[in-house]
Order: sequence, then C-alpha cells, then structure tokens
Amino acid sequence: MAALSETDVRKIALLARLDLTPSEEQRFGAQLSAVLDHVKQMAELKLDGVAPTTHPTAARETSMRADVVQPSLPAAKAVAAAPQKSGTAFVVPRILGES
Amino acid sequence: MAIYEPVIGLEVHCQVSTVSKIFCGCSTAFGAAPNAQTCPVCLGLPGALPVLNEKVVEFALRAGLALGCKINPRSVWSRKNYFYPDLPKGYQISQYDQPICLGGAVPVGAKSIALTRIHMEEDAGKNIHGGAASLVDLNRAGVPLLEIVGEPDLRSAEEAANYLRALRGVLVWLGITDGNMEEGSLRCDANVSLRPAGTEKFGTRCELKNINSFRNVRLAIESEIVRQTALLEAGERIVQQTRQFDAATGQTKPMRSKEEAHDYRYFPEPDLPPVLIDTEWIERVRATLPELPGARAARYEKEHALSAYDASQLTQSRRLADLFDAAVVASSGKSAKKIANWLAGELARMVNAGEADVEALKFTPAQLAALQGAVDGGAISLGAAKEVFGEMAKTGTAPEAIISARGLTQVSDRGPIEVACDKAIAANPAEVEKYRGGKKGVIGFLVGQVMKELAGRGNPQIVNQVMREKLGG
Amino acid sequence: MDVTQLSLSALSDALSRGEVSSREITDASLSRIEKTDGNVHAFLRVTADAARHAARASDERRAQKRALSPLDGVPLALKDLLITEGVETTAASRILEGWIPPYDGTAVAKLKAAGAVLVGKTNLDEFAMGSSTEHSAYGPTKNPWDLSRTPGGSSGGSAASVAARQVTGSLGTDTGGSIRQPAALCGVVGMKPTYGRVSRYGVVAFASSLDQIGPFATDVRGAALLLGAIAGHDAHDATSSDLPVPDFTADLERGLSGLRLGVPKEYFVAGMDPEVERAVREAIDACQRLGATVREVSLPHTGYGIDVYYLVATAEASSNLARFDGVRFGLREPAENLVAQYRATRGKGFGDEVKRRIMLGTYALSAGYYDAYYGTAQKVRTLIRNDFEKTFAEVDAILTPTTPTAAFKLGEKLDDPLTMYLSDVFTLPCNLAGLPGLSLPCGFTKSGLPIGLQILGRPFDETTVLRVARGYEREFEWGSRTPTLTLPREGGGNLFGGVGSGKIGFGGDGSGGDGTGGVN
Ligand SMILES: [Zn+2]
Repeated sequence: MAALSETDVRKIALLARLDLTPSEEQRFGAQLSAVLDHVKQMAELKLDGVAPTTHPTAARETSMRADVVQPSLPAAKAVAAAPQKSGTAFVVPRILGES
Repeated sequence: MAIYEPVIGLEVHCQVSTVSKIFCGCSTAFGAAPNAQTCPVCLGLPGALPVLNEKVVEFALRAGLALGCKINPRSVWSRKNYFYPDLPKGYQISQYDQPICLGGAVPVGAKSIALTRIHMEEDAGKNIHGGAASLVDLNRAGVPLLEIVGEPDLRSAEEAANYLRALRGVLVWLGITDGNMEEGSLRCDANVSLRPAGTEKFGTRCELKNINSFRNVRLAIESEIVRQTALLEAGERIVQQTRQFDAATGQTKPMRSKEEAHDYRYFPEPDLPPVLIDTEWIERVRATLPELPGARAARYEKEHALSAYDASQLTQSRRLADLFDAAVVASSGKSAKKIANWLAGELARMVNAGEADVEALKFTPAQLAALQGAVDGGAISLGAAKEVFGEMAKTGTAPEAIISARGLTQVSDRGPIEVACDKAIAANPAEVEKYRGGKKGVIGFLVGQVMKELAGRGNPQIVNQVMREKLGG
Repeated sequence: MDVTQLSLSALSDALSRGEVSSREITDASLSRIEKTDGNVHAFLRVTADAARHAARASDERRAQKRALSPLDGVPLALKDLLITEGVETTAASRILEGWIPPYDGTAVAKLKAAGAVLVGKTNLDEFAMGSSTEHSAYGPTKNPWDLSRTPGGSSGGSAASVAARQVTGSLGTDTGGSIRQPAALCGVVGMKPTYGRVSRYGVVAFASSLDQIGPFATDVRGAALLLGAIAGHDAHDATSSDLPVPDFTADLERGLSGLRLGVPKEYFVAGMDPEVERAVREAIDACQRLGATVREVSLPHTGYGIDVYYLVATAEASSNLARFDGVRFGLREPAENLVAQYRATRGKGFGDEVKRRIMLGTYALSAGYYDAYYGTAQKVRTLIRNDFEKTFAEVDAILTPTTPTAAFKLGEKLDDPLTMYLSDVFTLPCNLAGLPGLSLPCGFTKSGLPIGLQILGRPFDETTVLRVARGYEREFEWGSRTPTLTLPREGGGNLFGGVGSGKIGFGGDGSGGDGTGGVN
C-alpha cells in the first residue's frame, strides 16, 4: 500500500468523473496517501475465516414489496429540475462515438 | 491451413413479466411518453431507496428450478458502478459474486447446453441519439431482468439461434417473459472466439452486444466468425473487444466502451439486504411449475399416440398445448389425434401464413371439439370443416353458426342424392356406357356431376354408394 | 414565561396544558433565529411562512382536543440533508443549489403527520462529510458557546440551533458521529438510533450502511419524544426494521439502579483532553453512586474503527454520489462532450472534502485494491461488531467520552483531514456495529465549553440508553444551561442576557444556574 502517484490520482479522478486542478491533484495525493498509510495497520490483524459485514442488520421478509403498480410522478414533475430537457426527456450532450 | 472451430456462449437478458419495476412501483408497460413512468427511485433522485419486488425473485426461482439450477439460499445484490446518462444512479443494481441460481442447462433438441448462472438485475433507461444532443428516457430504467449466462458450449451460429429459441420457448412457457424481441423483452450478447479444431484452449473472444432477433443472432455470429477466420488466416491476432452488429451492413463493428477503464468497482449493495430463500419457498414455487415442453411432448406421444413431429409442434407454445389438452377433454378424449391434426396442421399453416397468432387465438377448446364432432358425425365434410376452422380461428364464431350461415351442412339423405344421381346418369349416357363397358374409373366424373348438382354438400361416401348401385355395381 | 428557555419536553407539556400556543412559541423561535442566526449561522433556510401556517393549524387542533402527538405545534429544525417536498434541499453543496425535491423523506413526513412545526433547514458539512460544519458550501456554523469555535459536525447546524435555543429540537443524521459529536460540542442531547430503527428514505445518502437519522433536543425526554415520532418500519426502506416501536419515554424515570454499565479502557487514550477525561470519569462515578454497577470492559478493536470507517464510508459515498451528474437535477457545467461535462460538473459542484472522499472510496473499490482496502475493512468491521456483542453479554450499556476534546477552533483542523478524522474516533465504532448511541452534556471545561458523555446500547435497545441518560440528567441538568450569545448592535442586559465580548457566558438569564456537579 504505497503512496499514491500522480498517475494514480489522475486515474482515480477520471474513474470518479472529477476534474481536478493540478494543485488539487497534488494536495489530494498527499492527503490520501496519509490516510492510506494509517489504514495499513489493519494488516496486523488475522482475518482468516472472518466473514465481512456488509449489512449491519439481518434481512427479513418485510424487506420486499408485492408486485403492485404505484402512481409514478407526472412526467413534467419528473423532469422539472433538469438543467436541460426537451419535452419530457432529459437532454445530454451527444455521446461520442455512438450513433 | 488450420480449420477453426467457433466457440460461442450467449448471455441472454430477459425482461420478466411483472406489472411494476424491480425496485419501485412504477409500471413496466411499454410505450408511455418519455419519463411518464418514473419516480424518485427509478430517477435516481437523492434520498430514494430501492425495495425489491418479490415477484422478480419468484420468477428467477421458476426459471432456476425449471432449468435444473442450484438455488443459492443467500444471494447478494451488488452495485456495478459506471457513468452513463441512461443509468440514473451511476450504478446498476445487479448480482455479482453470489447470484440466485448456479448451473443448470437448456435442452436444445437432443443436446443440452449448460448454464453458468442466472441472476436478477435492473434494466437501464433509453438514450435516443440525435444530432448534437441525446435524449434520455428513464421509463425502462428499473425494469426487471434475468440475465441467463450460458457456458461456451455452442459451436455454430445455427446452434446459437436454436439455443436462444429453445430458451425463449421455456421462459415464455413458464410465464416468466412475453419473449417479445421487438420491444426488447429478450436481448442477447454473444461471446465468440475461434480455436483450431481439435484443440482445447479457447481463443481470444469478442463480445457482440445487444442482439435483438433470432435472425440477427445467426447473422451477427456468422459474420463475426468470418471476420475472425480471415484475421487468423492472415496471421493476425484477435483483439478482445466489444462489438456491435449492424443489420444494415451485415457486419460487426467495434463499440466505443462506456467506461474507458472498465473498472466497475462492484461491491455489495448496502441498501438491499441479501435475498434469503428457504426450502419452503423453493417447494412452493416448484409446486406451481407447469409440465415443461419436453415432458409434455413425450406424454402426448405416449398417451395419444401422436407422432414426434405433432407432439413437438403442439408444445411450441404453452397456450397451444393447453388448448390441445382442453379440446381433447371437451371431445371426451375420443379425437386426440384429429384435434392434433387441426392444431399441428391447419393452424400451423395459418400461423406460418400470418393468418393467425397462437398467442391470440379467438376460438375455444370446446369449439374445436364441436367442429371435430361435426366431422365425425357426418354433419359436414372435411373440406367444409377447413373453411369453418379458418373462420373460427379468425373470428371466434361458433362452428355451428358458421355451418348454418354458410349452408355447409352435408347432404346425407338418400332421397336428394338419388334424384341427383338419376339426373347425372340421364345427362351423360356416353360415360354411363363406358362404365358399364368396364372403365370403372369414369365413376369419378359422374360423382363430380352429382356433387356439382348438390353444391358440394353431398356426403361423398353416400354419393359414391348410391351411384354405384344405380350403375349396377 | 420565556418560551425560548424551556426544554422540548416542557414545551410539549405546556402546549398540552394550553399554557402556550404553537403560534406563540413559533413566533418566539422565528424571532430568536432572526436575532441570533447572523452570528451562529445554524440555518441555511428558514421557512417562516410555512411554519406560521403549521402553527395556526396546530393551535386549531389543540383547541379541538385533536392534537396529533406530543410534538403537535412544537417548532423543530431539519438538517438540510433531509429531503423536503417543495423546499430547497442542498446537502450544503453547490451541486444541489436550488434543487426543489418532488417528495418528502419518511422522517419528515412523519414529523408533519405528528403536527410538528418545521421552521427551516440547518447547515451541515457538505453531504454530511466532516466533523466541524466548516465543509458547508454556504459558510460554517459557529458554536453558540464560543463563536470562534466549530459546533462539530456534520449536523453542526442542527446541534447549534438547539444550543442557541432557536428551537428545542431538531433532526440530524449520524454516519460516524455526526449527531453525537456536535451534540457533545454544543452541550445538547443527541441520539443516533440503532441502524434500521428510523427509515433512511429521503436522506441524501452518504454511507448507506452507516447513515441513520436521529434527534437533537434540549433534554433526554425531548429526544425520546422525537425518536418516537420518526421511528418504525418503512416500506420504502428495505433496511428499516419491522420490530415494534416501544414508547421511548416509558422507562425514562426508572433510574440507574440495577443496571450494569461498562467502561471500555480503549476509550481513554493518550492525547485526550484531561478536562474531558475528568468530567467523563466523574459522570461515570456519579452513575455508580446512583445505583448502577460499573465495570471496566475491553473493546480491543476500537483503534481500527477509524480505518474501517474511512474505507467503508468513502467507498459507499463514491457510489452514492455518482448520481450527481448534472443530468436530471442540480448543477450542470456544460462542456464539449459527455465525459467532460460530467467531470466539469462534479469538479465544480463538489467541495474539497467531498472530492477527497470520493477519490478515496473510488480507489478502495478499484480493481486490484478491493481486497486490500474495502474487503479487509468489511472483515475488521465484523471484529468490531463482535467486540460489542461479547461486551453486551455482560453489561446493559457502555459509557465513554463522546469526543477526545471539547470544541476546537474554526480552521484548526481544516487542512489536516487525518487529524479531523481522528476527532471521531469514539463515535465511529457505534455506526460500524449499527448500535444506538447518545451523547448528553456531562460538564464544562474551564473555558466554558461543553463536554459530552456517550452512552451506547444493544441493538434496538434505545430504551435502556435513554433510561441511563435520563437517570444521569435528572441529577445534574447540565443541559439546562444556555450560552449567552452576544448579538450585533445590542448591548448588555437585553432579552437574551448577553454581556460583553462575543464569547460565552453561563446561563445569563438564570434558567441554567449551577448544576449539582458544579462547573470547572
Ligand atoms: Zn419508479
């Protein structure tokens, strides 16, 4: 678990769809490296046979719903907050490379 | 030069027939105005949470049990993270390392194609690509899907199409999906690679995405095999990539990937508890499983002495098979073979000619039994019965009503038949002479004259008999 | 009667006896906000008209003896992470500026159904990521006890609004201590219920397996009333529990006698403020005097809590925040193509701390690192849960300090994320194990800053946690002290009793007084 390189930081920023300024890249790189350094201490623990905790509480019957249609939002309300729309469709810039 | 063997595996996405989406109450109906079937959950609004539609699990169980899968007593939801406008949350809720079903197989003719797994997931929305911009409609986002992943056991495009057809048949039979490929209820991805015949090791594969018809499955795989063969024969290497079939050119072409890095960062979905399935639930679903097509066909051959062909025709669709069973019961079990003939023969002809749709038949099993009863009882001729059947299939009118409206009742009374025979004999002395001179075949002509006189409604057996008597044997 | 000096439960009682009207206390609350919030900045948005409207409706119900609940007519504030239909909800982020949600979250809907008067949305660290409310895109909230210090976070606005007596109760969310830590730093009662006790539907998600809504209140009984109003199974949240909701006020006055309390040795660490340690130890001794059996216990994996937390919470956050993409709502920063637009929108819309955590979480989940980071963290999380499970076989509740220090200065830890993270070291394990936890005031530092005592309980045993808290509170009543806020353009001796320098004073108008334990 080494410190994050500049390449790592750029790769993660692309994966996370974040524009970072060069100064942010540098600062975050150092700060994240410090955190990663801290979490290294978990490596001391013996974890063979330990199951991961993904949910703090147990699943139950009531965690499912019956197949019943409920009213949707009116389409105009569904798109009301969109930065750009056409009729009741959301609008995004053309997706490169697809036709 | 090496001979290459194609290695093909299909991943089939099938929309299951729920009325509401997998994680919210929005309708799954096809064809609404853009975003008219959305809510905070399927729009991916902040704060909204998914709640699983129980029916989706039930359908997954049906499929898994029918296809002989191992049912996972605890399966886990995972998030598949990537950015795309049709994916409102920025992740797809799917199953990853602990799917609901493992293993199983699909019978395809005499062969059996092994399955890797079946898992549940949500569909994405739809991007409509325009000029400078794309439109996003999320009505489809959250529609429930089963992804059925087959082992790479297929060896030709034809076999792949047959596999897809058989799989679709079972899924529709089970009532899991409507199987409608035009509306996207069934789509598939095909993994295609080549290897020198006789070797074991898989070659580099390409994935053909989003194929949406049987025809295109065959064409896409065929063209991909041709493309890969040409590359290998030219000594080049296959590059692993995702490709798309262009029906217009008949070629596959590389797709731009959704995520450059292809790092989906799967992790267990914290908003949804694992799906727990106990034996009680499994047995409850098993008890509602219908007899599967293969078993049903075998039963028809045994119980009703149907030919293998007829039995397999009747079990192409559960609706057809159920219709057959009900009609046999309505005819008190006497006319199974003849009812099978109607359905596997005349109806199949009409379906092929586009004159009827098995899933939207108008007539009832009792009507079919009544029609066959009219033939058996001599009330109408077989020829007339075909006319009645055609009308019945199109309109659902009762056979008796069609027979009487069209005056198709067969004339079996000797009286009018004798009159007509006498008339024919009197009008055709030369032919009568020939018959009596030993040219017995000429009776066909004379019978024809009688039938013409009776407007085709004479009972052919009785007409023949009377005519022979009149001519003196 | 100065209604702004009453506790939440006293207000509720006064309303039910008809001694005050909702209109009266709502007006008092709104005017106190108007007078004090320029200094405190607890609120991002005050919904005065809707509040007055709701107050009138409540008074009509009370007049007809049709009160909906003990909270009918009580003014309350909501952390701006809770989604409110028709009222802008920002999560204190630029990326959601101006967003008017089309729906109410479940807890909000329940408060409305209980007749509560919702006066506004309070400040927080952007997306609840922070421990000081300094990471708000709309400026920090100040600690009412010392305006140069932070109120803690992330629910700093909700805590400060109660401390400043702008309201007597509010809702916050707690992912790693975001209710308990600011409650401690602001000298109020704050409770994180058991994971699953309160629906998360309508909370802008930070870390889904840790987030939980909970109450702030002036007093323990007030917190119990608020919790009762929002708890219960919700068909919109698959992780909400279907266990019955008890009357959380039922056992409050049973006292500490017969309870077994555990004090984990790992929670008294080097580097801890000695004043904090002394106050907490005195509170623990007091509990023993009040009839509880106190014993030392061990939670050996406590020290790993912070590592687990910062991997699990950031991993979940990196995914939860992917929906902020400028397509369906919120900020959009146009760019030449889709990927560029995503990156520009998110780069501009998120603040530093949010970006930092998205980066960390993305990394922790990425191919090749999952097992080492996220996968390992989830296993260590199991060890932390097991520690608690073993301990709760022997004790009924656990007592710890809520924080290692009292309120820190604005800006003090802002550029040092790791140090900031370490300030949550005592509150994180409770979230990792999904337990209920509460912080209540247990004294003040020499310079007059509140100190918090944390009480942790068994899953779904909020009742015992509240009973311990009330058993202690009724002997000491630290929480009835109020800060003396100095207001601009107002001299000494005014309505709020503030005198002097803009710092703090104790109970200027006499309602606080010296608690039994004394102040030092
Ligand atoms: Zn929906």
